[in-house]
Amino acid sequence: MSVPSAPAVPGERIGRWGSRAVGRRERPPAGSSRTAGYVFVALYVALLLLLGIAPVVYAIYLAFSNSGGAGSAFAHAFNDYRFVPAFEHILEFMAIWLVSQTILVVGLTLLLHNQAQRVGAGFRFIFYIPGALAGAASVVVWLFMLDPTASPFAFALHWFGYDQFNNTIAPGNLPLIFAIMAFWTGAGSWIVVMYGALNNIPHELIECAQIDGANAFKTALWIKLPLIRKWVVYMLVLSFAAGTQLFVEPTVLGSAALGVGVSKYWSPNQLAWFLASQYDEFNQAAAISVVLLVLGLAVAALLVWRGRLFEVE
Amino acid sequence: MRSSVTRRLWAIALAACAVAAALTAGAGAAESATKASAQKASSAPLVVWYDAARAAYVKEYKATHPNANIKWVLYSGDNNGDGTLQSKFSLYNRVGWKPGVSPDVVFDEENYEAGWLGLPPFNDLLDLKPYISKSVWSKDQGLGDCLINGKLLCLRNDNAANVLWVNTKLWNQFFPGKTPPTTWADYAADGQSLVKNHPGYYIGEFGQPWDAETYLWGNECPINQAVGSQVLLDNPSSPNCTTIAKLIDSALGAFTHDGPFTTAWVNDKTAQHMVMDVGAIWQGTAIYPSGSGSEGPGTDVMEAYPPPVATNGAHVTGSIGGGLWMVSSHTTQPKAAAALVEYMVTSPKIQQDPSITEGLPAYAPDQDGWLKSLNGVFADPSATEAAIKAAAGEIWTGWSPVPWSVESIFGNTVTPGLVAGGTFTSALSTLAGNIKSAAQSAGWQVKSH
Repeated sequence: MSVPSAPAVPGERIGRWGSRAVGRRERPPAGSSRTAGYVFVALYVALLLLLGIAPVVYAIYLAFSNSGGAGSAFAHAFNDYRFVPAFEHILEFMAIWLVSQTILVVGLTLLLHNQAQRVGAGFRFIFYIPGALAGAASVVVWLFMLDPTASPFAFALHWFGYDQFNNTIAPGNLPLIFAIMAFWTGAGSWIVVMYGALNNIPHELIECAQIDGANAFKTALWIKLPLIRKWVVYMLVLSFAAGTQLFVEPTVLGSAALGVGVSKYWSPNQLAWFLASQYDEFNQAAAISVVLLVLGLAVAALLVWRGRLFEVE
Repeated sequence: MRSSVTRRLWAIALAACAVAAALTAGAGAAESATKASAQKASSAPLVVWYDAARAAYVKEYKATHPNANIKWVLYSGDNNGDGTLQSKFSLYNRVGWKPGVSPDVVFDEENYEAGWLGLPPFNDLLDLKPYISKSVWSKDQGLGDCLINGKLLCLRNDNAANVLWVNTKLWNQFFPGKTPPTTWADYAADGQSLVKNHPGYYIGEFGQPWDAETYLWGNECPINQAVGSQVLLDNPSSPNCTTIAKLIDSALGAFTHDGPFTTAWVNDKTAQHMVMDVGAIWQGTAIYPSGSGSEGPGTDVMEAYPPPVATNGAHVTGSIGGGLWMVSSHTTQPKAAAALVEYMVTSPKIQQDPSITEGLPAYAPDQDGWLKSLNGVFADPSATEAAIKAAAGEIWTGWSPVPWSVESIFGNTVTPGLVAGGTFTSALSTLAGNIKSAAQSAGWQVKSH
């Protein structure tokens, strides 16, 4: 991350980020450490090839190698009666989740950063705790929260007229429920990341703004926010990919509801799994996966381009 | 600078390839090692997949067959149609069925799945007719789920026909001097009277995934009826469907939406508020015992009555659950596999012992022995035994085993509407429409009359 408009302050900070540092880093490191570097990276690249790239290539091959012709797997998938509802579900979920996550994570981080001296560390930890629960575990916690017969917040559920678990998980509520689950598991770690990004803003810059008469709100909006823009874009790219691939939450909720309310093909990723594992339709499943891949790449490309993520100034 | 970067990238790529090759080689070596050891053994063991409820069968089998070369594998039993079998079978179909590794015999808790795993695209079940004598399999009841396109693709383990369970204590209190209903119309009328005079008491549960198997299967409603190879009759406007839906709707307040096995059912002591309930034979001992597990009234007040006669006058009933024994068509030991299935289904040591077999045996010759065990369990043992035996032979065969789960369609499309205050009548076309879509995408042709 570069700090383009920072005043030229001599010393480490500029050295770390500025272009002058590059020359110093280019010095070849000692031979042994260089080999160690290759070994570490090679391990990662090997796993990436085996578990990341190879499955993608195989999925593309499967999607286009259907016996009925090159595009027939896609045609079958698009015409499946479960295809459009699955994408509608995910669209609703993403609309709620991405908007609320972006606003709340950025808002909370800016707020936290302002209070840094007093409560920052404590709150940062509190925000992070829900994120420490892995996906499936957090769903299980939410199952109790959402069941009016078991929840400590049953009174709140009763306000909405929910007396049974099946009321809470009515089909219309599901996108919101999954958005809440995803927010609580993901937001904490993003707050920590954003907080780190804010800490990289030179203190001098903030001071300058304050001397120029900017209050806390204006500093946050006009100084801090533009400087962490790339991190917000980064969060959106990763969240979009993760969100379109929603799988664990509806699957666990569906099995906990004993087959009532949440179908096994609520999300596109679930539908792909369902078709492959229940009907041996690996080509159709691969076609849906490729659609998700293209969607994720397209949105990432758009965000990277519009958000100038890789631009060096 | 550029060349140094390129050189580094090449180095990384080469190293990555080396690591990848090492990893795959490792996996390959392990695989060939298992192959070698499998070939070394004189004959591969018979692989049997069973569920937790069948653990007692396995124990008994081991005791009577100490020298059998069998690998027992405990798995979910595909309960609630979780799809374990479909996913494992489709993977074996891709990587190959290996003797001693892939299953030869499978126990399945879902009664419709022989029609899923035995039909395209799976075709993975063995026709048992050449291996099991007709004099044996013809006495196995509920074979509508196993006899598919002329092939015998499974044997039924237990008979899960529905009967009318009545809490005699509550019945005599609320309906003194009256006999329990014999028709659906009487049944609904009793429900209406209950809503008016004793709110909070129920004549059944409605909204659970298996309720299509209670009310629609039990009234010959043709919305899931295979009428040829991959041809389905799906006709929700048949009077057999609409009449029963209207009757249920007329007494909706007398049905609980909670299902047994939910926390709400136990918390609210729902089992103690069931005046009656159309349910499977096994439910008598599974739902109504007193104690913290089920919070029931105790089986000693419960009595089984014949299920209500269908609105078209037929003496038929539905069936909830009841497991299947199936043999893989890829087995290299079909005789041994079929013999094991036959033993499990017919052996008096297993099927007449209620501590091993919880439900009524599907194999008729074992039924009397098992029914004797009910002495002292229910309010009127001889009437209960008679009702159970009669219902066991009345399961309607027009509700077909198919490659989709009606239970899961019912739970996902009908229940949410009911919970939100909808009626069965309005849910009927949704249910039928979703069955039609599921059938068509499974490659079936769907007819409406």
